[in-house]
Amino acid sequence: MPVFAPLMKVSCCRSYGATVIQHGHNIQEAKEYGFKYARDHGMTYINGFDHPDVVAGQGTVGLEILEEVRNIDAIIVPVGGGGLVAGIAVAVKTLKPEVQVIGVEAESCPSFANAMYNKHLPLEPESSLADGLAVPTVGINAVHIAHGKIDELVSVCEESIALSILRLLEMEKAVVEGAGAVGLAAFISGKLPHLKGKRVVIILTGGNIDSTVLGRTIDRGLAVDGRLIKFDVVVSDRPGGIAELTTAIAKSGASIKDIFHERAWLAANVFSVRVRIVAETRDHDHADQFFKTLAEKYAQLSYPDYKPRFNLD
Amino acid sequence: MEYILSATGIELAASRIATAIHKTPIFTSDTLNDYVASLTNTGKGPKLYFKCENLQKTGSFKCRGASNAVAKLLSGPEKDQIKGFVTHSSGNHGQALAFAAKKFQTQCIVVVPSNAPKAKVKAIEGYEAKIVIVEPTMEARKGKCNELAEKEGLQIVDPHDDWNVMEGQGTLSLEIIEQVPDVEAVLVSVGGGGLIGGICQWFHERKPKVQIIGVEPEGKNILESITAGKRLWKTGAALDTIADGVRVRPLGEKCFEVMKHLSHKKIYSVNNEDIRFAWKLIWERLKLVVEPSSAMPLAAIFKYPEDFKDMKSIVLILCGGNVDFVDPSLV
Repeated sequence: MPVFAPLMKVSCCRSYGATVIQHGHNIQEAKEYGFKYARDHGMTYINGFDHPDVVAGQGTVGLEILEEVRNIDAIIVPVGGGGLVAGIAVAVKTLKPEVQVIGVEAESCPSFANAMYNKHLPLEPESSLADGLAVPTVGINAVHIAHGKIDELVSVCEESIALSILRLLEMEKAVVEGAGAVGLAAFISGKLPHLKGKRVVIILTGGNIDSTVLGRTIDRGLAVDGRLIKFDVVVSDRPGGIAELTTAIAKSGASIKDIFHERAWLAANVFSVRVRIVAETRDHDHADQFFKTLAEKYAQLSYPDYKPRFNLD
Repeated sequence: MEYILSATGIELAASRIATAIHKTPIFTSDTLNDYVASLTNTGKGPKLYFKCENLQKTGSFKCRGASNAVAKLLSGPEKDQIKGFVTHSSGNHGQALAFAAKKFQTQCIVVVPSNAPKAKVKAIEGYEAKIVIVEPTMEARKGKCNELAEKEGLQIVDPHDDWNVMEGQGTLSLEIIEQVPDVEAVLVSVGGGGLIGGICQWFHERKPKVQIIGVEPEGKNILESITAGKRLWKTGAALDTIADGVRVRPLGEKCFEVMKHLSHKKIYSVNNEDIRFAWKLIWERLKLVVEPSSAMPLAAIFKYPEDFKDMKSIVLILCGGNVDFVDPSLV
């Protein structure tokens, strides 16, 4: 496994009795090491997404979907190395070719689009929340098998993945890892408008997300959703300064979750203090209104840009 | 006090609310079964069946009781006097009542404390109930609720101390026996006692051999009161537990009457550490979002594995999944 593999995935492998070797910065480097290791030790290398038997196994998801859900218009499939989408494409296009098969990649690693459509989009696999899809070199067999059977291939940004994970936690009560959440992320970020009103199956491919990552991802999702805001404001350090600030915040309907004082690094006068606050707001409109009101009272107010690139309506 | 809870009533309730609620799935986990087995001195353990009420409509079992209460009252003798329903709640009951009112097409007002998580308030609004915000004190909540009930002709539905509500919660029993026919014990988190009350009643009448086992947060001391035959709780102060769904200290009066039928008189107490450990495992192994109160049954089994090792099939109720993700004290 690559050096940055999620801790949960490493320890779960070990709990099934496997010997885990961590090597390389991405799956490609880990794979090359694995090939060599297999050859040196007389073991059989099983590729996780390109061995035809593996692709066939993944394709069984397609069979179950067609059995369980009627009148499907489209099936949305996360794409990493391509094994799952290839298997599902074969199952679905053989049994019900009218059902659309749509692949979703992470914007930071569009390796399948590059391979399939001969593009040259840049790859940054280490930086994605969808670590399960971070495959710089996709499967040759997968591309070949899926050729002509995928109706559409889209990609999603990190913000939409974070928000998708949060929505699945809150609405579906499901713990889904980044790679598994890209399908919903495609809808959240408006990548599939033509499917409005249709019957769509989204595959939630995995739930192995580290608890530490989960915490940060939830915060990220809340920020994208306009429900958690973080800002710095300089107020008077004299008695009443903070009280005035917190009253103004409460009046605006925001709830303070965390408050932190900072004095040493303030360039302004000695009787001021910079306060960093994390607060809960209802939504983006509320956050907008909140900052507008606060800016009228405080000259030194700063906050990061909290609007996502896509339209949330 | 007239005792009007019965297995027949619960069975009628099941038909009454069938179109309103989900029949929730049962999840199992080999890893969790193996882990419990590893804690026993025989290396053998029970098969655990998790009843997923976190996947229920409104995210908790509460909609069963609320739906039954609303549907029953709207078709009962006083139906013309009832203009709608009202309650005070920042939690699952408020959402459940709002849902039930919308489903059975009537009005609902929920009195909400000003410090309620915004996501919960939004959920209640999503069911088109009217929200009235008050100071976060019990007097303000109850006072406003009573005021609105009188002024607007609304029916108050208590979150647990209500026969119709208990009847609705009891409908879980029918699903449990259908999905796990060889069940030997059902473990239930206990707050006000509405859920365990309904389940106790049905199993006591229909399948008395099945043990209904309660799990309480430390400090509640249910057994003390049951043994004494009366409710010994002196204060209404909330219990100090991360299981926010079961912070209410005393069992309801009616709930207490039912719990005297608790045939095997078994209640387990768990603390925050026990709950956190089990809670984390449910998220990690079952991939389910559950509230900390849902983790209490599993926490009890982890804490006292010897008591459960000879059982074959145990059902644990995951009572709800409405977690406030904004609160940093949680994750």
